[in-house]
Amino acid sequence: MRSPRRCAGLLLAAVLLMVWRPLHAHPMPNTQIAVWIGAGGMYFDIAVPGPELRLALPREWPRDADLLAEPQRAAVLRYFDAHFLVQAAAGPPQPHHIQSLTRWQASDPDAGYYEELRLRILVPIRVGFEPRGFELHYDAIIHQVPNHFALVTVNVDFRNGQLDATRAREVGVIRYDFSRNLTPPLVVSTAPGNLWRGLRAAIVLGFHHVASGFDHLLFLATLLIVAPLRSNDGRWSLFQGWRYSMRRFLGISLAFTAGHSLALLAGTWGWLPVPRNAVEILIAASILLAALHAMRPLWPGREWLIAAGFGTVHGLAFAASLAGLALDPWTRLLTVSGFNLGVEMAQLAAMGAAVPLLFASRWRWFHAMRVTGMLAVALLALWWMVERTRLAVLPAIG
Amino acid sequence: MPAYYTSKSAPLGLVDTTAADRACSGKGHARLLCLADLVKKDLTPQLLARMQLPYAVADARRWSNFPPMVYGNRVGVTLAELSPAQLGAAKAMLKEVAGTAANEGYDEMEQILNADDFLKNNTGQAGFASGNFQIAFLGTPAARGTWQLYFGGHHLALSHTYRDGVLSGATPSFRGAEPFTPFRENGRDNAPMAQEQGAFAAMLQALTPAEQGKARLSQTYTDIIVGPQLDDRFPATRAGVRAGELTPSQRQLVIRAIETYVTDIDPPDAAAILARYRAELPDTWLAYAGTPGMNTENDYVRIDGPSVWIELSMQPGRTVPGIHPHSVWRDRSGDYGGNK
Repeated sequence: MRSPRRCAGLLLAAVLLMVWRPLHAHPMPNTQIAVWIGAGGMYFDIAVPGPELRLALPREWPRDADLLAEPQRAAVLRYFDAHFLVQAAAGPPQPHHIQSLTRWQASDPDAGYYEELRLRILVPIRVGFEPRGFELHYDAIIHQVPNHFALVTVNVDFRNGQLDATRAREVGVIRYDFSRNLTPPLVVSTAPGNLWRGLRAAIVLGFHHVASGFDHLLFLATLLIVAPLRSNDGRWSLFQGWRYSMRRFLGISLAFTAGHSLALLAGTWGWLPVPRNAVEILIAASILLAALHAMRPLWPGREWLIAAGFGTVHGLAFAASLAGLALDPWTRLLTVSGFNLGVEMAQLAAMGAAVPLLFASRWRWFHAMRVTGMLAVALLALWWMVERTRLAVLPAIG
Repeated sequence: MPAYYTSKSAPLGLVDTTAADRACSGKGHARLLCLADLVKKDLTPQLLARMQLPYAVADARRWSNFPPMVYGNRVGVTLAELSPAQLGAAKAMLKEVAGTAANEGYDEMEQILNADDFLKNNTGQAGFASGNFQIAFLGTPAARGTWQLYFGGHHLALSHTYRDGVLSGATPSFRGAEPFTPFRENGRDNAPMAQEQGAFAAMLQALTPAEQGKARLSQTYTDIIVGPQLDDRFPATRAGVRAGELTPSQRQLVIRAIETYVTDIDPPDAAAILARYRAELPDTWLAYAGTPGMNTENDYVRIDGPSVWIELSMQPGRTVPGIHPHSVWRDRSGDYGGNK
């Protein structure tokens, strides 16, 4: 029984050593500004094509100068600081803070691959400033390259229940105005909304993440199928009675939920690093191991520990999808709580649906059914692992 | 990308127009009406519904410099969807409206289509192909009323508006090409934009250093500014140097540069438009950014008159290395035949 475990360990280690490089698609090499509106602050995620930025910077460095190395980096930050301003209509400018400046490789069907710089600018919402209607004064690049433009979208708006950043809402385009020879500000207005809308959207998001995650449900079933069984000399027994089954069923479920919830909180709060691709591969690996365990006991009696560990991995996967919603602490707390609630609700429903497994485990042919089913699950999980590894490695080569 | 975009070529140079020329032997607008009927003849109802649209400026504005995988909102039927007879009529029609000067008009368009086949054959990227260029009629071609011939695709937009049988607008007219350097495709040598680049470089290089200083814009242009879906984005104040201050030989080079766009239409209409632009030349301004050689990345030049607007941008290569031109000829009052 030792060698399969070691093999699995080696697989996991190999998976963890992988390198990831995300890709980002653009309609064309222009600027994209994604606005995230939280309860206590706004983020502006600005993606800027490097070649155009270099034309607009106050002094021209060599074409291949590293814009993230000093002294260029400081100059780039100063430049954006001077070309970005948020204010309420006719109100005073709001303080802002550039939180990060990173470099990416972007691609476009027309322009191919190009260097892209991304900035995240935080505008804390202060008393007296209403983020529901503000002017965005932004003319980086545009003041010098007047054919350049910035597409502005609202990607997240908590109070309006918009949490899915992939469904961005276009709010306007910032362009140079040749009739006035200036770049006019863009007025961004959104409905006031309310906190309950945001919370509700978070719950729905959490519920859907589980309900639509076939691998997640499959993993739960794989974990719970051995709850009514006992390990005898490296083989699984049949049904061990209702008390025994229910105790283990609940124990495994609770351990999984606990690991899951903690990981979700830790991951979203940034206490735990979440390498998204690695987590996806780890999930496939966890299903493979759970399926092997359900065929022949690998860790009899310690399922709850395994469940907690795997729960952590699965929680991290959700944290990865939430980590993108890195809003102000208050919004984040509401989002994570709502999301967690939704996840647990979906999980409870799924576990309720798994109760028939307890009945089935009394039948004589349960062994054959379990081994056949788990073999199929193991093969599926193996295929997921290969596929997710391939996808994770692909961009690094391309 | 809509399903009617394929990777099929429709090399116009190899299309036979004999039957169309025989069937429509008239001249001018009457010949266009005859050819338009021939293009539409035997089209399936589905294709006809896409080719023959009611006249609407909103549809006329649906042109672009981008290939279909970036801009998928063009109107019309693709050349690849036409039968040989319909294609012959379409080619005859393009020759009739665009004139037959070498490297201008129809010949220039044929080469721009060949450039797309070159990109398709050298990159394999779906979306590039001469067969993806589209033709449409906005408004039914007739002796009375308004209609527009729409022809366009990657790096090409032709918009000829007719009112009561008379050409009321030949713009917006977009021309570009990648690759820019001469290339061989569909059995011929191609360099569709070489004359334009040469004429504008000659115009700028004939300016004195002082005049060049006046004509140089302080901003940087990585593309044209009055591009697709940006109609009426003309600067309120003209910049650069006024042609009225130039010598006759310098002014002649300005006319020569304008001609590389105006001769993209049939000779009688071209002559009428050119006469107007010539009369307005004293109040026509030249401006450029980058170098006057028009051969360096982000070189840009514009001619801005009371009516004429031409801008040419030599921008970084997108699909193949090197620089490539984008350009548009517009008319401040005559775009889309003056219709809004």
